[in-house]
Amino acid sequence: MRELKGSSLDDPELVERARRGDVGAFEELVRRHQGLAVRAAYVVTGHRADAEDVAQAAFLKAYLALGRFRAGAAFRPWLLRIVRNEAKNRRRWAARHPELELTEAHDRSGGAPSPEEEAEAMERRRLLLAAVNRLRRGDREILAYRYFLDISEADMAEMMEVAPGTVKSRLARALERLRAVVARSGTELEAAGE
Amino acid sequence: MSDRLATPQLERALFDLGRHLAYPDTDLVPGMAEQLTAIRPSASPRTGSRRVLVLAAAILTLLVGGAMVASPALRAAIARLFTLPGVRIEVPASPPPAGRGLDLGERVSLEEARRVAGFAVTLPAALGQPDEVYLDTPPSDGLVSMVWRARPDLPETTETGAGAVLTQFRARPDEEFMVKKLAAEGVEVAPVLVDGASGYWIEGPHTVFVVTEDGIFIEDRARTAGNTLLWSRGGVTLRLESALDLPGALAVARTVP
Repeated sequence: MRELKGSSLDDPELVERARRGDVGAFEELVRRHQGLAVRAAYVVTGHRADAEDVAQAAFLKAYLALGRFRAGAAFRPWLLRIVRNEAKNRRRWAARHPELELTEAHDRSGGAPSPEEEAEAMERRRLLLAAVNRLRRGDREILAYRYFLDISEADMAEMMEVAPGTVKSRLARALERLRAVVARSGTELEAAGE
Repeated sequence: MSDRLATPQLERALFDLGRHLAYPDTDLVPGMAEQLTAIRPSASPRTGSRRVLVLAAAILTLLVGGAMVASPALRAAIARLFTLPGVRIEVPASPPPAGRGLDLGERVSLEEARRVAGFAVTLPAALGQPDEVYLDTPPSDGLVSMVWRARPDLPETTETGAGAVLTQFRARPDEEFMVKKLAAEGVEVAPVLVDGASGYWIEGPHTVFVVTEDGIFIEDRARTAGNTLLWSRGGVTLRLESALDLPGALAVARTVP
């Protein structure tokens, strides 16, 4: 991600300023949360261009709705809820069910593996992603929020408008179904000897 | 096998996978900045060659069941915001192809809609049994739409191809519903009384969407609507879209039990 422009103001302060017409404050909120918003849109729509449109529309809707934003509430899960609804609306229009794709970019995390190790790691990811893509939409979505985007279960509950316990149980069921798909395919998830 | 598929291992692999997906990486701020700047209260609406000037769209804000909490300045900002992104969002350059339907949600039976919806689904006696019933979310209580095909007493609505579409959803008592309408010039919006309750009559093609307290849009159709009567009854907001004139629409609305 690109470098964020620094602002010492926290989200509630920015929301308050934006509510009073400070466009710069809202831009800072966009800057802070666009990465997650676009990613959340992508895992629902499975389409990169759509994901950007969705995120942008969600921010504009959030801006519109600022007057109704509950003071003191967390901005991020509220925004994510709008992103999710917008993305689902968009997906509803699309007949296709696109699959999530791996990036071509080289892995720079985890030190500097040899080209062979990196190729193996990418192959394992490819197989796991194929399994994830075979899951039903709801399972893929919930696994993506929790693991791909690292959204907390509490935030997921708010964004999905369900009880925290529901997130937990749905997550467990989705993992179970993924485990079954992976087991059937015989995919090795980690390098031998790990 | 079971060892290989232990949950922590699977979770670790998923976290790792999430770091290697082909996410878009466009900075939204520059594109948004232009739109947001366009609605800055101090900015002149005449700057630039924006579509808003071509369309000369008028924004009308309607309230259902409560007062707007936004300040006049914010309200003005919202109004200007919608002249750009509202048009962009609601009236796409390439409208959906015909035959895709009205995007009303999942086709269900009337019984199923009544069972699933979190409110009492009503039926105007004047229209008889609906030809089709749809259920959609959000909102979580459901958005129920009934469709009547065109017939002699219900002429076809150009915008929907149907005789009448009645949509209903529950306005939760702790929420204020705010109905916003983006209307082209020449569209009439009139406050009316429906069976003693306040409502609105909107004549001419327009787009409608509804915002709930928490900013979730529960209606967001990329199409225009025909003549529309909006009213609230027993905590449920109803919206009748048809080619009927106001007396005709009111006559139908009065037969909702």
